[in-house]
Amino acid sequence: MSSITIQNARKVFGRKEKVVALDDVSIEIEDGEFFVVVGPSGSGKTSLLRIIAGLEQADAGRVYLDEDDVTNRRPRDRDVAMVFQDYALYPQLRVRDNIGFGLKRRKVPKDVIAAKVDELAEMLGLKELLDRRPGQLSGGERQRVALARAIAREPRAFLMDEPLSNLDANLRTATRTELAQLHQRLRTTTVFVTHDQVDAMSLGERVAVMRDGNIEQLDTPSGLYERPVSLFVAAFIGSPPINLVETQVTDGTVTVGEAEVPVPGASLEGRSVIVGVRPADFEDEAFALDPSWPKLPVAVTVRKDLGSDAEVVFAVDAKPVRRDDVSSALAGGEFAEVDLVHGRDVPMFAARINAKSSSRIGHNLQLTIDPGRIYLFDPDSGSLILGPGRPEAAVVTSEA
Amino acid sequence: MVTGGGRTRKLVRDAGIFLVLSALAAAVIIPMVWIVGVALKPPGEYFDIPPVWFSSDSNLQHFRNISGFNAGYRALLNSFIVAICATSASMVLGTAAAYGLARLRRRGDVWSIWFLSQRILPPVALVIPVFLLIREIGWIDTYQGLILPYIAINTPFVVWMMRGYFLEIPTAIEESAMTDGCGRWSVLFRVVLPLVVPGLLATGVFVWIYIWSEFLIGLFITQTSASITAAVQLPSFTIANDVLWGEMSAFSLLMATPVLILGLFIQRYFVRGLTLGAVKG
Repeated sequence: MSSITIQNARKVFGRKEKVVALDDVSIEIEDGEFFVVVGPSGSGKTSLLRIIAGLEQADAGRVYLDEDDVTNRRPRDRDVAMVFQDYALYPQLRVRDNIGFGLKRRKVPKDVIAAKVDELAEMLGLKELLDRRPGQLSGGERQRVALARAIAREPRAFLMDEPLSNLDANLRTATRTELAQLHQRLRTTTVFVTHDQVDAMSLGERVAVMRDGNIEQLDTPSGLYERPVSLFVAAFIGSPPINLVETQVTDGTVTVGEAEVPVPGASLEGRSVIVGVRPADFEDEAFALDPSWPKLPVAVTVRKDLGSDAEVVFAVDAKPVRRDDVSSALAGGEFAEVDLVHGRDVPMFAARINAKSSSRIGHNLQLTIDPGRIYLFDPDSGSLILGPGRPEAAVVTSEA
Repeated sequence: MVTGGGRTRKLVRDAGIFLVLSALAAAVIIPMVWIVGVALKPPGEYFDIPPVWFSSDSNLQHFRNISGFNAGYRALLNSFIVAICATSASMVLGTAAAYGLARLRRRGDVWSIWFLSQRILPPVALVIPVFLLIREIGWIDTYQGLILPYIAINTPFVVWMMRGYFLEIPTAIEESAMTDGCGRWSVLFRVVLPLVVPGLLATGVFVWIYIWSEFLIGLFITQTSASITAAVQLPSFTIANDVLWGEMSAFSLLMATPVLILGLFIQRYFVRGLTLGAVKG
């Protein structure tokens, strides 16, 4: 097990048309940490992982495992194990030999390998499958074999490149839990790359959100949710995504549809802002914690009953936010772009409310907004001006 | 649901397919059987009407006669040696090149077309320069004089076929092997080559059969029994004003046997080889 340090890594692909995969990235990953790198496709997260593995050479910058400078070492001399998206098992080898492959290459005695393989098969529930070939396994089983193969070598670090993205929803959730448990047990430094923010939030001890070859924010999952540095991070983290409208601070309030939400701090008066409200910060008036909270009457167009709570979708009469940073963060997400029911160009909001709410599709609903939990962003830079993760609604002034 | 009418239509269609396939099979098999008959029957019965498939006087005399003509059985040995050497060399060179080209994505596409274009040239266009070259080196009537041009002609084909197979292998498998402790060479030998064994077999057999039956270059390069190949030997059963049908058939049979055996042996890989390798190449 090792810490991983990346200093000023830069990687550019292509000769004529240059694509900057990594701009100038520095990270310190602690020994034993579960570190997640998340971002939309093309943000440079996989390049970062491949540079750590040695499968890609950075154009500039250095990579350290503990104190060892491994920048110019070949993959096999770095002693890290990689888990690939499509598992990359050796099709011609039995499960047993797949798991033992790395040990065999390192000239470990046969009986030691056999014992290790049996131990891992026991641990990961692969005992019955040891003599099969990868072609005879299901996706989840292959994933486990790939994990076993990585664990077998007891490497300095696990590097995982979207290992869950080929699994269906149930298996994905189950495997996530297993990965978390495995990490509890082994405490091996893990770098986990994903485009799925649920993976990131549920697995990462710290999460780096990448955008266009740079790390936009590095924080704990709750830090990212509560204190996003920018619109991009705010839009990327959270499901359903944060609701956004563009407006102005007038008389100490911002207007979200028909709701007037008070904003602390006189310095913002008259300023153009983008207001963000997390779906969970709405509530049906009947279940509101504080009757004085601002009210937002809406017409429900979709209601999804999720059991523990309900999600309602509604149009808000406001200026929609159309920005590159937001759309790249939401690309591929579950995001209603326009009001398809009424054919109007207004933003669609989602709210997570109490499951006992009597709201129904096509009916009006009175929602409340928790005024202490709104986010304000600067429309020019996209950076956060004011957010809920604050002692006494601190206004962020110096963040650029 | 198969209705009565549907069943009849299916029967008619199956019968049609069966007839067409039978005709095709007959077109291939009848000449082969006829050759076997001619190789065994005495000369007087070659042109009997009605034709005699298998004579009651069948014997092995024609096979005995072969050794008196030209290089005799030595020609089969020559062909065998030349084919084995040239095939092995083409496979080694071509497979190595194909692997390189498959992994150098961008440039590889252009190169592979060039490699293939060598194969498209008509052999006649090649044979004169090849002859002049080999004469210059002083390799006329030697094994190496045949092996060298055969390697040159077949290596591009091997590159093209094998590149298609290599492209089928996800790079992640190789990268996985690299992080697992393999260098480039051990990735190739332990992970990649075992995965393309069907391709290697199919390609190898293609090349071997090409060389085994190659005539034109053989005709120019060979002179005596030191190097005359079976394909060059075959027409020499035409003498003065006569064709020695029995000896020629016997020799054809001997030439065809290894090809048939190889064909049966790797039939399974053959179709896969043609489709997979070709489409992706």
